[in-house]
Amino acid sequence: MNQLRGIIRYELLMSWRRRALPMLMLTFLAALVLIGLMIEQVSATVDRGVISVQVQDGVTTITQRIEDGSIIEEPLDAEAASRLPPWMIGLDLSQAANTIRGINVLIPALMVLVVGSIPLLSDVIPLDRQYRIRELLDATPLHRSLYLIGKVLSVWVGLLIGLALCFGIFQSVLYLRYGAYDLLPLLLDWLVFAIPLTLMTSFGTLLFTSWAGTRRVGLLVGIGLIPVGVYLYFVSAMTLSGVGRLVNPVYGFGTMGASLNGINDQTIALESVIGMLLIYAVAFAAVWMFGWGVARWREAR
Amino acid sequence: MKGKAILNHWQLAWRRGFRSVGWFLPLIGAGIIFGAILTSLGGFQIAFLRFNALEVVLPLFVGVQAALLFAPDDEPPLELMLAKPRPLPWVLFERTAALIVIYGLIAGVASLLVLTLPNAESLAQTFVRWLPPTIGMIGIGVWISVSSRKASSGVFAAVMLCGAMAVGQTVLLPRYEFMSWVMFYVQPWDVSAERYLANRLILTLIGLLTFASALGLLRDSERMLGTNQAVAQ
Repeated sequence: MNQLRGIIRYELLMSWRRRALPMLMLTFLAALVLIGLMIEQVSATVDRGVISVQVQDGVTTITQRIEDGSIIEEPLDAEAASRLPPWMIGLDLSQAANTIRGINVLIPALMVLVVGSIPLLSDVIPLDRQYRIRELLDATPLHRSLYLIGKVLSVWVGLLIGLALCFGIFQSVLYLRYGAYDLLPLLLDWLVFAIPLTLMTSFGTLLFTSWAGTRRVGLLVGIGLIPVGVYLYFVSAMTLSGVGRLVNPVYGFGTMGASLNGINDQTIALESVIGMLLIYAVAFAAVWMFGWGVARWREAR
Repeated sequence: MKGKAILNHWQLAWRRGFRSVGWFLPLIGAGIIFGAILTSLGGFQIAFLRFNALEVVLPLFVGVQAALLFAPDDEPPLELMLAKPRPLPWVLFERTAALIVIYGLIAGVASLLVLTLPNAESLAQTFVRWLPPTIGMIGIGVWISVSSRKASSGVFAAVMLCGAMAVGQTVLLPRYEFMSWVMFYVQPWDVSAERYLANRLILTLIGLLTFASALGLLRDSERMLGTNQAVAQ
């Protein structure tokens, strides 16, 4: 355990000194804030001046903002009320629009993190070999699994700290710029979409470049991994970014592959999220076997 | 006379220069460019090929390769190189020349192929499309790798910059017109002819200035050896 703690601590320090992780997280934060400031128009369906729809004693009332900025309430006739989708009743549409804004900002900004992390993290393990640290490590009673876990965990800890900071700053900017929003769907998006995708990308980058003998070779392998990262991003965006639908189907608006599917919507969202997370688990196992196998093969040589 | 003396005294290391560019990335770059041109010849329309493939793919690949040309931390015999009478910038010149020869060949052939497309632009117009952003990316890629000492920073910057420019072309340009001064992929019909020309000149200038700045950094031996730096490989 002490060995693991030591690897994590010193690798984190090196990440800080190499400026790789700070540079990556600053770029991600810049993308979040810039896209967040620029995005104004979300789906017109929820952003047409209607703030909320309430049903009380069988009477449906619409609260909406009219052109002069004042807010009015007016009852809806029975026929129009019957055509309203059930998810709309009782929902604060203004707040929902702001939440969808947050989701729509996170999705493209994550592309920056995924693509950027690959070249910046591709030299973490090859560097030890380039500077002959590997030979020193071979002389210590450090098991190859522990070494790889230490390297991966150090990068993960750094990324998670960065993601937490970005989350805090971005949510504040979102609130100050657009007003109140529903935190739960956004939090779910960060927890189920952003974090697993980031961890998977960094995990793959670290282990697929672990066989490289020099930083340059590691970087070249990393460049080759960028299309794989982009593919992973799109697949994840199409399945995991709509996780907000578990809270309300409206949070599937604007997310790739999501649509309002009526009463089964939550089941469909849950199925696609669990399915994708299972694929992640299989991919984690496969990548780990590759990295571990390469390390063992090298030792055997 | 002086040039002849230089050639006599300082041996050229062309093979090393070409090896630093390699064949893998140029091959992939050429495959994408020629594939896109041939697809256009076949009359297919693919969304991401709305831009001229040459002007999008070439600066990206050249920028990434330029970043890989020279990074002080990735040059094991750096002290020896600095101790030799041949100036260090010479190494960068050699490698950049190799990069220009390889990608120049790809871009030249692709430009001639583009001429065969229906409603093709003139050869000069095609060159004006890809050459300035490519020069810009050579300068930026080299400068970031030399100044940060790591090729990974240069590659990261090249990928991010080209991605931001491609997205900015459709997202930022309609909103912030002033960005047309420095956008890589600005189209001739988006702005006035004078603005387009100014854009191309600015991009070329950025490339030349950043490249000159990288050469200046290479002349500082103490800096190249990382004397003033904390331990940060």
